[in-house]
Amino acid sequence: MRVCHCFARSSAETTGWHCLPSGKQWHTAHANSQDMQVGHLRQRYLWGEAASPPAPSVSSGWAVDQILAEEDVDGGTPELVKWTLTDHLNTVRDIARYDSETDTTTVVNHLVYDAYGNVTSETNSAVDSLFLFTARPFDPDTGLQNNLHRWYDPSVGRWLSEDPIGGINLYKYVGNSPLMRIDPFGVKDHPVTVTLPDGTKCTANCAEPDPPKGGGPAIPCRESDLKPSCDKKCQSAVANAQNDPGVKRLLDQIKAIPGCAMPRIECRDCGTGNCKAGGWHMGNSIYICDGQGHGAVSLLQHELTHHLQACRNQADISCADRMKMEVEANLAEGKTFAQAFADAVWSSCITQRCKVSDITDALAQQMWNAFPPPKPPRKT
Amino acid sequence: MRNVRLAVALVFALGVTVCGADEPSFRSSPKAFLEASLSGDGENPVLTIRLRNTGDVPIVVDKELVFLPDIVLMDNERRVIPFKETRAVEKPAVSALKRRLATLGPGEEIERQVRLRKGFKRFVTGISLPTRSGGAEAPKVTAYEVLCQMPADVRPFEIEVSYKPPYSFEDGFMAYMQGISAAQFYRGPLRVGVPYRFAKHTSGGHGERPATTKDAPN
Repeated sequence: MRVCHCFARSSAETTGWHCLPSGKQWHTAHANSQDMQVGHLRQRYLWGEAASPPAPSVSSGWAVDQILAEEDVDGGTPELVKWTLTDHLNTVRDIARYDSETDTTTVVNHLVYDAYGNVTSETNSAVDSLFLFTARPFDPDTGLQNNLHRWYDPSVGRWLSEDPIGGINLYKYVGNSPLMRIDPFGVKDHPVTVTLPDGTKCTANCAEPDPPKGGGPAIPCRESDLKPSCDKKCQSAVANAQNDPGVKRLLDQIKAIPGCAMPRIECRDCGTGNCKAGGWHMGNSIYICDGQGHGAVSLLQHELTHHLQACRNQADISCADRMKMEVEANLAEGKTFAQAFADAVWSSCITQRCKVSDITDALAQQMWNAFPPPKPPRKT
Repeated sequence: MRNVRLAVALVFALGVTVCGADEPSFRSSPKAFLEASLSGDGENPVLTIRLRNTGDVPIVVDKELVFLPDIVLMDNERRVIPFKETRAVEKPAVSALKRRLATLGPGEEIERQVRLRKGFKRFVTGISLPTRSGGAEAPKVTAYEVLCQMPADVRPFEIEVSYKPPYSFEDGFMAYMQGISAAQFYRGPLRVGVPYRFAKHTSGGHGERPATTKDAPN
């Protein structure tokens, strides 16, 4: 948990709040008071554990600071605590208050937004929060939302400045898919930190594809596009890889499953166009396009594990199932558990099977239970 | 008498064990029945695939039986023999693709005839293998329908009709259908292997006895 104190930054000018979350200064231009005094504590905010963006943010699964509570304070005396209840995009949907006299917590304001973050209705506009759509601070005077790297204008669903990492439409908000995606930092990466059961902090990137996969491949890479490769290095790398003990073990496992086809493993030329990649797993075939780049052995170990999983009829519709399949394949490559987990998060998120809120300590625990790391040998 | 009973029990147990090892281990509940048979001759082998809903609830299938099942040619070591991709099939509009998803009610069945050497439609999915691991490169997904044929010089040992999603099916289907998940689909697993007994240039074949399988209970 992290507490942020907001002080009045100036008095007569009422230029706004001066907020200090973990040493980072925000200037929200939230000028709503004529009686501010410099250094006068006005409000306190409680977030899920976080570091300064864009570094890994939280251990509770959110890649942005998850606003948990807001406390109105006058001279350091707590008056009211408002608990903010958020949805999958971290958007504040309800504000609740605890009444100590009746020992009850009730929702005092319910907010309804349109797809681009405009508040279309609320049950009690007198009870408000600085943090609303995707939990970024909203400035009611300008009608803009501060996403740290950029200002977002929900009225038109666009950024005020270009995307710092580029793209086709530099002003477009989350690929015009605001119900599916969030872009809390104005960029597409979502670093997440989870704590593994052994206490290790594991940072992963639950990034989203750009453009979103829902658009489909414009020009598909077809099997027939991958012409046979004459690259001798690739051919010898693939031939040697099939003699690797780890690869052989996987091939034996595949052979042992009745009805499981032995995949074709070939070198192909896939250096151009839509097919450009280190290799492909297509249908029942594994095509290696680069005998040197990734390492044919680890690549084959990874993909043969996936082939085996398909033969075992493992489904990967849910995030947890997909993570399990990816962690297993990464471990087969010889990666450490932390690396296997982090890489699984990357590929599961980029293919839209997992979302940021899925990447939690509980998920890490689940994977750990499924694939417990080997215990070090006892010293005699 | 007691010894005889023990012997019978032992033989039965051994038999079950041996049979169990030969059969694929399926996990889905018994919902459907897949049947495949081969007719025609070596020049024009025709594979007939039939899927019947044997359960008591409707199942969602592709009424063209192209998304699932997949057809795989195998040699005698179960290695995959590739089909030849002859012509790209232009991707229909998503609305048209959606209409292909049909509900098969209890007792209803659906059939497809595949002329293996003449050209038939296949749905292929794939996912690229990034050259750099550790999240440095994003995998790409491909999914497409294509006309395929069994090359003239190929004589497989067996033709497998596999009604279960291959690896990358979920990603490929979602990309092809522009965000629609494959979760609603009946997914099997079902598998039928049809021995290919045609000589290369025979004619007037009498077809084969249909091979069938049911998905096994848990």
